[in-house]
Amino acid sequence: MKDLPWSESPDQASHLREHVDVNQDPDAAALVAALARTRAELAAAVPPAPPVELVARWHAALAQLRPVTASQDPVEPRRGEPTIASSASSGARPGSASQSGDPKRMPNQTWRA
Amino acid sequence: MIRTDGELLAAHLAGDPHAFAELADRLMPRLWLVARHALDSQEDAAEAVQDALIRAHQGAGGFRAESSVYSWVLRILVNICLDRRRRNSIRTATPLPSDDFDELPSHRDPIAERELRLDVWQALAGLPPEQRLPIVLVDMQGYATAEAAALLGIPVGTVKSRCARGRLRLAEQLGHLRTLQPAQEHR
Repeated sequence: MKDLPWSESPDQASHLREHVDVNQDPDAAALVAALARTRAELAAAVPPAPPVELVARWHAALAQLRPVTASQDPVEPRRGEPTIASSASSGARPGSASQSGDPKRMPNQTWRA
Repeated sequence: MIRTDGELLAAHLAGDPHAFAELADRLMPRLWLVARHALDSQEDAAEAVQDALIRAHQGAGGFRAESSVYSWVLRILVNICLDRRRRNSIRTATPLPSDDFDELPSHRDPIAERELRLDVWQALAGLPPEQRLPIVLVDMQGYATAEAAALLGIPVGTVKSRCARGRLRLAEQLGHLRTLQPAQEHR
């Protein structure tokens, strides 16, 4: 897909603010406001709960899984690399609403999925 | 005391039989949100979430704490979803009905919030999947465009473009652009 003109800006609203005098262009101002409102609604939307069937099926599958322990980990941590055991208590990264006030951010990372 | 995701994963590795279930219950709504918008079929999405949780359960020892636990599992899920989409691309997928989300009640249910949610979800469901997923990651789950690009394996500019096109379409569908003339909406 060809990049849009605002691709060098964080989003098209920022692009408009940078390249259009929204004070002199009511349509540009309206577009900026509309996009901001859209993003605010997206951020505020409460995610739907997973279907009951998925939850039930997952719990059934979980019951069939054999326990996993750290000693079964086939991959040794690299030297100096934090392990889950050492980082867990420090809450190394946010990732859930229960962990910190900013549940959504993550650093540049390398996954081992 | 509420344990962090990392503590739950560590407890799982230490043999706590309940830790991963608690972790999965915590992560599942956000994983479901991504899978639901990455795949056209609800059944595919459910299977993808379950597969991701199973892989995370079995591969917990491989988590390196370089990211959040959620981001780690999300990466697993996104890979599964992308694989499924590639496999399904030769078949004709049945698009989601736009009111599909009506059947999924939220535990928070004030009337205004519910109306907002349905509007947003219905509008989102009307977008093409390639626009939905970046918007879910960036605008709903707070990932930076570069992070979303890394997750999806596409260039940053593509994420921005897809988000931009998707937001414009959402703004139209949510009624936020009604005061603009059509020719001015796509500047």
